[in-house]
Amino acid sequence: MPPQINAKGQWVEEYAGPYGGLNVQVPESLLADNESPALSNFLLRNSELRSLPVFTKKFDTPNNGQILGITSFRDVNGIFHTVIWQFNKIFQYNPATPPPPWDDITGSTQVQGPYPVAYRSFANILWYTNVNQFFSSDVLGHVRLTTHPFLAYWDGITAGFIATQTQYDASVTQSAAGIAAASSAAVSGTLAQFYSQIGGPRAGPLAIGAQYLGELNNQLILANVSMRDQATGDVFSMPNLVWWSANGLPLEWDPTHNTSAGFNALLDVSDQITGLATLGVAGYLFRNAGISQFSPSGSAVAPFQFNHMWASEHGIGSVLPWSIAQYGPQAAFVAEDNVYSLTLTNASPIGGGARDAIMRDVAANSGIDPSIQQRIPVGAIIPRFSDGYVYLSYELSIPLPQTSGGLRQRIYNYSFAEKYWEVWDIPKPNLTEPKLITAQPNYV
Amino acid sequence: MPVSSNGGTDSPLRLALYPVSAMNGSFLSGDLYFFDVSNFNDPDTGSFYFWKVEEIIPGRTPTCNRQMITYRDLGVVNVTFTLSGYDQNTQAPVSESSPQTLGTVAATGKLCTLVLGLSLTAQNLQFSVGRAANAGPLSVVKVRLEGEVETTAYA
Repeated sequence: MPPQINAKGQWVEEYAGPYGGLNVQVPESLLADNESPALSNFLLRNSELRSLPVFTKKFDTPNNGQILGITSFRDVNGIFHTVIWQFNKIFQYNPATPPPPWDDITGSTQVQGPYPVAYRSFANILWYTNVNQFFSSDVLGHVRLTTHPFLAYWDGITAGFIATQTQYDASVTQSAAGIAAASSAAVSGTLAQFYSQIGGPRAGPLAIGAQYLGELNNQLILANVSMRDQATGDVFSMPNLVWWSANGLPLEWDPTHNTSAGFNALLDVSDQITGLATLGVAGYLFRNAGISQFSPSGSAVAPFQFNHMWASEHGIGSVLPWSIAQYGPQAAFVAEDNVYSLTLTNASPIGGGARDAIMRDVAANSGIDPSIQQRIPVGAIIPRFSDGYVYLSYELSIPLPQTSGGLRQRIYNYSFAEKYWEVWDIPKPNLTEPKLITAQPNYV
Repeated sequence: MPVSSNGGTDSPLRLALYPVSAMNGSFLSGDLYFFDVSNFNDPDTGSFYFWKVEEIIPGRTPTCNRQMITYRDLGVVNVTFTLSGYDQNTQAPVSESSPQTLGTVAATGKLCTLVLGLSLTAQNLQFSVGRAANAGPLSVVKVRLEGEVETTAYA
């Protein structure tokens, strides 16, 4: 509202909530009364401007190096397991362990990093994969290629994660998603028709891993796949490939052995898969410049039907692979032109007046030396800060270069309830480097 | 008898945890952080908020001489309120600031109101608040600006 002015020239202006948050896309004098051209480290929740709560350490971890993921799941006994991944190590929370309260459950698998792990709880079992391969993206440089793609699992009962599988012909794959030696020639021969680098039928056995992991129709789904021929050690990157397990059989990935397992190469789009989300009855494969939807077909032989929501040269897709986050029936992600919310029916821009600030910082992030592993932006939808403090919001964490050298952490926070953006800047003066968020935060 | 679980807990942590890395000396640490909503006085992060720029009447130079700030008493907090604008005579930004201590040790949680007398005659008036790191917990509920402006039409 404009100021109220009486006949004597006395004027009054009032500012109160609900707040509209950051708006850098109109001149400061044209803002709504509840918007701000600049703010930092305030929560606008419940119509108050409240200083940010203390961001403080809860747990040390036993292993130096960045954390690549955190999640919790419930096993068949109803016991909860909170798990973190670090380089070459996996730990579960144990309050009885002297600080740091983490027990090693690494098992037979390795975590490679530096990209965050992809995980999924299915049938009271925690599954995860961690592949690192080239991303032809404007905003992420390349990291080393994966040498051992794998899918691993833990039921909360065995001593540790398991990433090997004895196949029907007694051959052993170095991944829970594998193809027996007896089937390898047929499977790899088919794939070689799409991916010439495979060269032809391979002896196998074949180990499969991926950058992303999801579940739909009681089938685990790997997207942006890497495959290793264990006979030669050759690793093949298939960035537009989707591979699913047999229905209800997450250890069966061989379409020649069970026809409800299979794969689909999205050959008619030129980009690559940069994320995966499943909302209700449909799955969504994010690409750099598009989104492809897939849904159960009811057929055991071809269990999914695929449709590109758009397949244009440029379009709404996810350009920051770990910006994709999901909470119930909605997901959020960063595209070339805006931040979007995706529901079962459509993709809606949510960047609002903060869009240009976010995109400016995404661009600044892209200028950081790709060899700095902690520079990857990540997004998460957090329902609550803690028990009893609800704040359903999409948090996009973007490491930024500092003029004095090093990096600093900025978080853009979007409130789904009140549809505003806040800015949180996280410094740490008593360390040589500030605190950087290295994987998607999670409410566990 | 069911097969026992390997560790675990009877309930989840019910906490949003943030994987954080920092160079701590010569090694890279991996820690889990959280937002402690029992304490809104972060010792490391300051805060600022700028409200919109007010023209009052375009082309006229208003005066703002009273500010009323309603806040919630979360504890003692030191803040600085600033009124800024543009002086067309000097063609330079101008501002008036007032450091204030708000709240009580008892942290009553009640709403309180501060009446400030910052006075500034300038165009494009803008009010802002700043809080330094470790300066206390702040919660602003409402701000009211009052002043005067010439309303007579130009001849």
